[in-house]
Amino acid sequence: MNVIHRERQERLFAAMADEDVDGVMSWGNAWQCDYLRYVSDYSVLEGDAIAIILIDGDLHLIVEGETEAGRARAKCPGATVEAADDLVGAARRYLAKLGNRQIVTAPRTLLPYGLAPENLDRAAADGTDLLDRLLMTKSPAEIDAMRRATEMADAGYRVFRDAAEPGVAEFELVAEIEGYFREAGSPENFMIIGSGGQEVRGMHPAGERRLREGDLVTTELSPCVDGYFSQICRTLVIGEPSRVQQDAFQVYIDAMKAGFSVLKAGVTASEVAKAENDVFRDYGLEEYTTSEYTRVRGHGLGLFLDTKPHILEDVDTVLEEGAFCIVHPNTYHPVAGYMVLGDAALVTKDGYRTFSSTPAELLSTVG
Amino acid sequence: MRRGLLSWSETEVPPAVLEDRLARLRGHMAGEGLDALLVYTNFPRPAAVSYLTHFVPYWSQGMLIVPPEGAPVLAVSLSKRVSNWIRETAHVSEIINTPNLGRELAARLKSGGHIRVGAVELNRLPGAVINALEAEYPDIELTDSTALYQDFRATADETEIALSRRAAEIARTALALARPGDAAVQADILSAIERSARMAGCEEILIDVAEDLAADGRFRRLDGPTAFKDRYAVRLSVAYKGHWVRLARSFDQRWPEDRANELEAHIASAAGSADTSGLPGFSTGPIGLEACIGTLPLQSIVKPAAGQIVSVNRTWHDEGGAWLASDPVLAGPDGNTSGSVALLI
Repeated sequence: MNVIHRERQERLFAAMADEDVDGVMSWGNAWQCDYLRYVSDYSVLEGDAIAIILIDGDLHLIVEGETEAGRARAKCPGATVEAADDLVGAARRYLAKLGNRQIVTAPRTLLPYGLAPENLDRAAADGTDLLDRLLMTKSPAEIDAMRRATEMADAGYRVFRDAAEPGVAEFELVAEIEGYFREAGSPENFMIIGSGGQEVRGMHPAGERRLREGDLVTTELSPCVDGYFSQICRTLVIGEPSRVQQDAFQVYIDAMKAGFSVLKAGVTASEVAKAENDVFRDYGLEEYTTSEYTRVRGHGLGLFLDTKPHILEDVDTVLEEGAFCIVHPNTYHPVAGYMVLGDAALVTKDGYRTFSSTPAELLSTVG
Repeated sequence: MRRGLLSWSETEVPPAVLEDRLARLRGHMAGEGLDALLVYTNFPRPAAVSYLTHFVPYWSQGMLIVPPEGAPVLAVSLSKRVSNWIRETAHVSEIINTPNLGRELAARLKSGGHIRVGAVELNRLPGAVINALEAEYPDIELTDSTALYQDFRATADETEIALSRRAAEIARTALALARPGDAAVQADILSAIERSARMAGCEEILIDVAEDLAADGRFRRLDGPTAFKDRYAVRLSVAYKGHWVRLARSFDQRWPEDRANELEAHIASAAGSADTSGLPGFSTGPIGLEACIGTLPLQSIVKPAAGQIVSVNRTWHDEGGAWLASDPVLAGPDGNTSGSVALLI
């Protein structure tokens, strides 16, 4: 067992013992598998999967089909792996074998209908909070993985900047980045992109549009090391930035700085979001902090790239020492178009620590 | 989650094809007396909604409401600013943006007077969504329509065949980079494979490797650095415009080229057949079949349906270890792999 997973298991079993929990059933899929990975060290590549771990270390994995089961067996030789067409039925049968043991489930929001508490013929309390506490505060080994993921994001952005030139299609640019991350050993990456001018309202998966001189090219790169995601958000101008673009971008620089200025252990996600949004308010751009134009002002990072807490003014979750999050005041600017800027940071007792070396400024393909 | 190109070409996927699929689905719904059908989509389970609308989500989740007549409605937990992108990449007329999918579904179904409602893969749908739907609309009679959908989905139309073939061609070109050459094969070929497939416009590529077939005949997910031994295999799962295929080949860096070519010729000729006895020097291992029959891009099946696109995963053994191959085929009219034809020409 690797060091990082041994640390996770020690923390998990201690938390289970504290709460008199005999076992945890966690659900994950090819999009979000943080709860699943935390208890099993297994990330599903296709479909959905269930991990049931008992406090004595016994691990049972239920996955969809033999292709995924082969991957799971190779990754987790100590686990029993079950390939099932009916994931829900298989989980119910396994739970029945566990008799009266105290089993909790997590995360409640992802549980399928067939395993929802109302539809189970046995008690299964919500273990989401138990896992959330463990997921949110990172151990030294986890922090080291996230540092390395951040460095990989920086390196990926250098590839992005070098490859972005007039005539290159969005999907070709993505191909270069994904090729690089594959070479660097990142098993996953989440990346979206936007290109164009004032008409661009957001980022999305790559299309066929080809870059042009003067375009703003926005992206967020989210590579992964040992299962841990970091992220970087930057805006690149193809050619020389215009005065309009530079002036517009100052808002984002100020807002990110403002978010970081309040970030430290003990503050709420709301306080960070408010600090960012207040800058937009000061510039007369409050409208662009709403859900019409932007999703969140940052979010947690870890075994999932968009984990708790979301940095929003109505989220009161306290950021504790050891939390890892990105502060990104990404949104639409009415004059210049959609712009992004964001760095990941470790929350410390007195502030924060970033590991990114990419300049936090409006970048350009020239100079 | 490495989404590549997501775009809609009306030449490759004409709206009429999507509308024809919808009409066929409604025929199946009418046969079971359904007032509406719910079809779920999210990142790992995009296939059913993609098949009907060309929409592939890169984030969050959604549900397609298919009424007996009129345009389907796509309800998504994505903000409004994403709607333009959805319209550019999919054939949908009405999009509902909502943070509470269950409540919105309830409102829609209730206002349409839809009581007997089918849901594809009901038990697997998010409990939070379905519980909210039932709480808001207690009179609803939800029924599982997985079998209905599988029956509807089985036979491939010409568009599916063409797109699956394109996916297979992308995979074949990329997989050729894994062949041994003058130098020993190194892990950086995986980067070249990824780049090749994405440059060719694939939507997604998953790469699995079996680095040392002498020691372990299983594919594993790439989770970091890897090192190829003398005998190895690479499996590519490639999506193009919502259609997925698997292609896998084994290689032995010690073999002369003519030996490798001879074996490849046997494998390619047998690609459309379950009869693998003709692989010289090898004993035959288990065969696995996968097809798109629900929301997952590919899932295990026991027996192909007539005219279904199926990925056939085969294993052989000799004294040197395992030998693995996967090929997409078009099942014959009798619904048997022995009458099928290889998708790659």
